[in-house]
Amino acid sequence: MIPNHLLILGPPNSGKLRIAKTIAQDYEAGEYEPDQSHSGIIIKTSVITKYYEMKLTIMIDEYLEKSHGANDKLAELSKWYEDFQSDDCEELREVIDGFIFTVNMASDSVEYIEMAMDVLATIRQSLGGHDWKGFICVVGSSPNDEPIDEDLVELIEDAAITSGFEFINLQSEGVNEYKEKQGKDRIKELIECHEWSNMDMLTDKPDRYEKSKLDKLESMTVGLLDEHKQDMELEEIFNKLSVSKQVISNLPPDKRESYANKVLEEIIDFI
Amino acid sequence: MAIQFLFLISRQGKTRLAKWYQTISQKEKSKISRELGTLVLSRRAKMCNVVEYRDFKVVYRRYASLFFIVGINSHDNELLALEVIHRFVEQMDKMYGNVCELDIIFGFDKAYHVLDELLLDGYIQESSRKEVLKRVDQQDELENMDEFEHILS
Repeated sequence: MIPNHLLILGPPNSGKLRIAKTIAQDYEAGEYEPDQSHSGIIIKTSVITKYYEMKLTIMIDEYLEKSHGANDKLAELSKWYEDFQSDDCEELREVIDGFIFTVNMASDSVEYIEMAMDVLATIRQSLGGHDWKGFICVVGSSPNDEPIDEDLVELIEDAAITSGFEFINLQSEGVNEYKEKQGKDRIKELIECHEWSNMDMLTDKPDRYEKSKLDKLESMTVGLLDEHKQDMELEEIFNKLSVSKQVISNLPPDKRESYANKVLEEIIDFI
Repeated sequence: MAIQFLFLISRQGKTRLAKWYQTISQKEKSKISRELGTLVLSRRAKMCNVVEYRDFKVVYRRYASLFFIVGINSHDNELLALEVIHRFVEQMDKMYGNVCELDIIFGFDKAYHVLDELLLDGYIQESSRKEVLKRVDQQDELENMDEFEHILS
């Protein structure tokens, strides 16, 4: 099976490996030191859903070796983009189906993130713009899951969505008030819901028709006249009784007994 | 109330289902869906579900990872449009059993089928949940039978 490719890009300590581990749950990342560059890590995994299975190669890249100021970071990101635009990276541009850009919400300033979104928009344009079949999303996290101020998260989210990118906060979990999955669950959902270039569709079970018929077998063995009798359900009998009770209360006393007997006979017939 | 168009887009801006009840060119359709996708996706969750766009009103609602977007005439009732969206989601939920984006991507034929039973030319054709699902089931049954006969022949 031909693999699909996902690129995760971000500065150091921005959660790239955590995202990769969320997607490739069988991946063991113990051998990497926190200070060591994660650039060039390639993880091979497979994704199976109820509709398809596919092989996925996750490529991790970093655009900054050490922590610098916002301007340096941005300059490094622009430099990375220039390399990405070069002829050497043509093959890479052709094969990637998904692009995840990571930000460190604890240390990256909103100004830097806003400017980084502009670069990301240029990257999207170079991949084919809105007609590109792949996806791009921005994932925010903080090292060691330090709590981040909600207002700051909203500002970062605003910067991403106004540039047309989905923002996922890696620290949140479960579902929000709109029943949207959040955090790691949303990343998994995003990967599963994308229409990848190479997917092996799982075919329908060939015995579907027979199974559906067998399920109906029980109702098919019911005698035709039995079914007629079953029409009168308990609820219907009670309805009939309450209607009759009302009718009887309006009848003269001498006719009541004969009417009651008639109704009773009718009900006995049905039972 | 006449619905002009209905489409579903993911949070990534990908169109998952689109139905147009007016005759416009493919180019115009792509333009509208792209513009509306950008417009709706850039709105925060707590913002109003109704937006004015060109000559009509756009009513949208988010369900998990999908946005349901409906275009109606400016004099139409937007609350009714929200009800139509919700009824469509309820019917799909019953059809697929806890419907999710993946079901709509890979079982899109059923989603279109439910929609076609629910709306005809932009007007509500059948409001009964039971009736719509019954008809879709009947069609599925016919399709399965065809496949079975094909295997036998």
